[in-house]
Amino acid sequence: MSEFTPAESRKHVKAYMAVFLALIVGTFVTVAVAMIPWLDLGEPGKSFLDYSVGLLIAIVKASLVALIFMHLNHEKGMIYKIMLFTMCFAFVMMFLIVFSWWNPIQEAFTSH
Amino acid sequence: MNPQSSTDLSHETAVHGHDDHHEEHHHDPPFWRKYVFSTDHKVIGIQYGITALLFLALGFFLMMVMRWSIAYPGRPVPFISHLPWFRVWLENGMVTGDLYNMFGAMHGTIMIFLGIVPLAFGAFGNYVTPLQIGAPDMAFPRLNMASYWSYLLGGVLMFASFFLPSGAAKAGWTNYSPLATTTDLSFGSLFWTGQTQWLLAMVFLISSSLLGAVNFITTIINLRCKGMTWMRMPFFVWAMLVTGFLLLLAFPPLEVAAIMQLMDRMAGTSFFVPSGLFVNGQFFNAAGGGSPLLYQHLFWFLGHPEVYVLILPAIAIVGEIIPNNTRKPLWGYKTMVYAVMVLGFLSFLVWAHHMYITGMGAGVSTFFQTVTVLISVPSVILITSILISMWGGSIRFNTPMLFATAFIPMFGIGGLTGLPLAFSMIDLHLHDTYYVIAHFHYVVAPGTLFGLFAGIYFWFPKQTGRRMSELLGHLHFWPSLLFMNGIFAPMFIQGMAGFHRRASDGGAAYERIAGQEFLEAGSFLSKIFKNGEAITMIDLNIVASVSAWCLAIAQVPFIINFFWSMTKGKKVNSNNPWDATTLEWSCPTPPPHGNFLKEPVAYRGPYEYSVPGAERDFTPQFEPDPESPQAPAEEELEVKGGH
Amino acid sequence: MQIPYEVTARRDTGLYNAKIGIWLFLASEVMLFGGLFSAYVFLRIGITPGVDNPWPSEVQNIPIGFVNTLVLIASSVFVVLAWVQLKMRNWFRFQLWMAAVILCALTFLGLKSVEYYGKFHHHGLKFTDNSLAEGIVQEVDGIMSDKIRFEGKSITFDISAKNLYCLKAVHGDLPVFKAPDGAEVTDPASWAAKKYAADVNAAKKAYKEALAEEKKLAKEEGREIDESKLPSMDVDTVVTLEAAEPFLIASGERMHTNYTDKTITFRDGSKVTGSLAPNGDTVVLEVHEIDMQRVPLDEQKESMIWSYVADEGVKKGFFDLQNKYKQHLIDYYGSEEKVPLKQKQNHRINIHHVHAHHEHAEHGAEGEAAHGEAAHHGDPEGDGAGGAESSYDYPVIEVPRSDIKFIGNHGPRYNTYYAIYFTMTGLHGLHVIGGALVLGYFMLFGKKLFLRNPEHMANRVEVGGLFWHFVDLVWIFLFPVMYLF
Repeated sequence: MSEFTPAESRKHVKAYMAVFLALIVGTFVTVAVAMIPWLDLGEPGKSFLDYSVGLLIAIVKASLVALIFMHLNHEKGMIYKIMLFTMCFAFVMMFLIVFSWWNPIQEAFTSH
Repeated sequence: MNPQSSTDLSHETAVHGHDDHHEEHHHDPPFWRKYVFSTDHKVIGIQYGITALLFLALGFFLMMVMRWSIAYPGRPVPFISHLPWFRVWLENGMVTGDLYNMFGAMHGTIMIFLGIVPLAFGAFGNYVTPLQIGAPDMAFPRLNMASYWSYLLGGVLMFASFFLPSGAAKAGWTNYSPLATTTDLSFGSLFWTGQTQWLLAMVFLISSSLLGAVNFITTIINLRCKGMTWMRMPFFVWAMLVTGFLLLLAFPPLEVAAIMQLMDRMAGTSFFVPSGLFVNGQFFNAAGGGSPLLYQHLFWFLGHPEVYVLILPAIAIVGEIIPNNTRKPLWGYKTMVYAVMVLGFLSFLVWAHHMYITGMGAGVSTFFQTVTVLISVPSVILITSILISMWGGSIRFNTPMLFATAFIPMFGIGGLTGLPLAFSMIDLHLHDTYYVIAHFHYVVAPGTLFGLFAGIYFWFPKQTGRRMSELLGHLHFWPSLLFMNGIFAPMFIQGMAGFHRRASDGGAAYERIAGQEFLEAGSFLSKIFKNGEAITMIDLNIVASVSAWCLAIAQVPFIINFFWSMTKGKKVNSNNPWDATTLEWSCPTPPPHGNFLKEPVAYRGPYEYSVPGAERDFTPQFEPDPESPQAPAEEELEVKGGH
Repeated sequence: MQIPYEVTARRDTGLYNAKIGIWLFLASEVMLFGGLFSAYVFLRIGITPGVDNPWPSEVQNIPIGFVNTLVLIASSVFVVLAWVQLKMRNWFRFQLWMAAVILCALTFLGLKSVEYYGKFHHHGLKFTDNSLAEGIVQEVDGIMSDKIRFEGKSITFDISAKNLYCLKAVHGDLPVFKAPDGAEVTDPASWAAKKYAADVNAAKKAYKEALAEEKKLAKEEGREIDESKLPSMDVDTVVTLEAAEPFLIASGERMHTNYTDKTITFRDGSKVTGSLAPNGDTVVLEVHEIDMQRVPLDEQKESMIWSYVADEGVKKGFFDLQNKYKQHLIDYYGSEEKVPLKQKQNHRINIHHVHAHHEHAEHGAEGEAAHGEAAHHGDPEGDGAGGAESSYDYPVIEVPRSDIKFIGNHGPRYNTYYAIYFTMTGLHGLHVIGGALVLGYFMLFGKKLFLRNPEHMANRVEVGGLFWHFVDLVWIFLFPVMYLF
């Protein structure tokens, strides 16, 4: 982006503002799902559906920040590769750590 | 260096930015700037190397004291029990259980985090990597300096903790909670205990490694010289790239664990403290609800990639030395590159094979067994390729080659004895025995350390312009090889007999295990050593311990050689004394700040030895093609990376 | 010497050095926060119901978290706008936007400290039957009543202790101790060290004399030296000192490990002997919330908490809300049997909700349902601003130590939820501070570089901005995970 014309900058700013708006709306929706009774999804109280919606919105918001603000939508291949591996390892870490609660042998014994 | 950046832009990051333009009336920076707070990657590499060698010596010393306690429990330690400072630690000149624990914990910590990783990654990586890819320096020279000083600070903190009233950390190098959380709580100030200082020092060491890793990867991605495409990079650089990623991505979880344990100790949280914990018969006053398993997960998420951080640089050094001394190309260079990448990837998925007996779920343990067995495939590819490289070569057995050759079987023994440990049911029996000790020490001590020694002998002429003495080199190598095996081979036998690794009396308290017969009464050896009585398992302790002390003596020729050769060694007659092919041998000896006198260009792959039809048996990367002496077209040389 | 690709991008990778560097750094940050989030999930899943403390996700101050989210999002936009201005080579406007970013960072940190302050001044008191009263601890005679008040008469400690915890816990003037030889001791640790050294010397001297004697005897009698006849060189390392006058100890949970009515043992092993202060062994608490999550349903009506919170209105309000919510569950699932066991009942109320509930009840029935729902859906003013409102008539209770299982403020020590909350938001806060410092440095001192090489400056701001966006990105996850769900 060595050439940076005013027209291009206006385009950029427009995109940033749109994302700004989306992020604010997303935040409102998350809080609404958590707090407003008639928006309570699924079973009463905080249920799996509530968590999922909250996390889904968070992921969308985070992707917007990463793609538009951090310019990941038109980044170079090397950066994608690095971040892809990182995300992969981060998820592997989380899931394998959490899965160590899962014990099929114990379940087989206690379910009878 | 580069036409794009030669316009006078900013010199914020390059401290000596104007050197290029004022080469003729260039004056040396002051001593402290040149050798102490230097931003030159070569000086930093040497700083790393010397500091790491000192820490290796310290770790070795701790081990020798421990070996005394194991071989001769209840007897005063010779020599050091008379040192006034040391008498504080020893009880009537004998090693106490506390001291043994402390030395055991610090031996592991110092050897791994302060000795081998800084020597392999910090010293060799720093010195060699930019030279091999034809870069003038690291991408961020000041960051490089910061990472050395952060390492030194961490090391000094770790060392200083010996002098605290509580002594240094004593909960093992793995620092498992809740033991590590509750150790030394009775000392007046919780902050000034070895256990807390260990965590603090680790935070510095981790920061150092992270900065280093960022720097290395950036350098390798962006600072390769003209023509240095990905597949023309020497294998050493590939290994450094993968090692960099391992450090970058594996260390942060340990930092998390260290911060949480620091919170547990200093702020009274219960991350790793389960509900209802009793310590020394007293209810441990904490909220509870935490999980010791979590600590182990976070620790070993670092811990296993760390194993490859230890071994990859050594494999890479051996991979440089063997083609050079067999005068043959590295066999299966591409396969090795892909293998090392797969190895790096898989090493993140195997960590919990250290944790089979923690009570984590059987489902997850099945997964880890499978991946652990898988990871042996790329390891074997690496070793096999190196082995095949030697086939049919006319081998020059100089000192670096001796060490490099010995590395292969030693690492092989260490690696293959690890396979049984990958299965949880065998691990139940062998966990925490001397078998495990022998297994990973074979990988790290005669394995990695031999690789690193080979590297020192190999690159010494580049740093000093003088070769190290071959005679002293042989005197160093052969006893080292003998005694290394003398230490660790008996441990396999003892481990399978059931000797536990953390007994300060070497297992004497467990008579059933200790008294098992190793050689029957009346056999030849028993007549020599024990007046014809049967040699029992516990007698092997003495074999290992005596070997350990002899190994210390075997290092004397190396130390003499190192210092003597610096000033008195045989001078090299060219910049390329080993007739090697990679770029570091094209720059002056020793390389000046900025490394290359003219812009380096890589014209071919890194291991062009004995090319058919060539005049000599090596064709360096930096030599233009004799057929067409003019430089190849620009596009041909331009790096085709980036994908 | 010039490092290549400092400012301009390399042709094949298309990147300049700092950009690769910052992305690699962010990769390690992803793993750092990845590790923390893993720990969060692991700890949350691993809670054993009925054994471990429950995770109170409804005690957070949601408005503050909400505003902070908006503030960070805004600051993220400001950073990119500042970068655009730099690309347009407009230094002054860049500075303006950057100032806005710094302002946002300061706002964020300010709100965060308000939140932290609220937590540290909010206590939870667990009765022996596991019912929980939360609120503000009151002061008694100048001492916060969550501290144990103890009248000390003597101290016992090991000579290796330099930093005596038992003396740190003394309230008021430090006591003067009487040494066995009658001397007055004001610094017990150094007195003990001296005494120890003297004792060791005396023991050594006695041993030497005895050894000489024994050697002489042995020689005369022609036998080996008999070690058993020699005096021991062991010296007492544990010292007890009597105080000249009784002194007052006020010790928090972090200081001591356990106590009885005669002794109190501190974390460094030192011990004070005396007695629990006659009227000091009670805790005075202004109750804001009542939590029964760990009390079985059928025992809740007889819980000991009601003997302290004697307000019948509160008790009635608690069970009214609980029944209302139970009815709500039954309506949802069809019948009482179908309500799954794991479904959380409403066991937690904020007392000002009860008051509001009563007012609504007087005004008409339509508001009730909404409040019943609101109570289960969270108490937005949990720890922060809620505590400051005193227009409600909060009951103040005085509980003897014998009825208390645990008392502590909502600091990291309280349970694993607060531990990970403080660790994660604290680390995130450190990142905010670090980012603000770097960006502030660019704003104030970047002009020289800007004039010399504006593209280099723009690159720096881009790199600093990337870090800032990442900090924002982490908060986007922290907010729902820590505050809402």
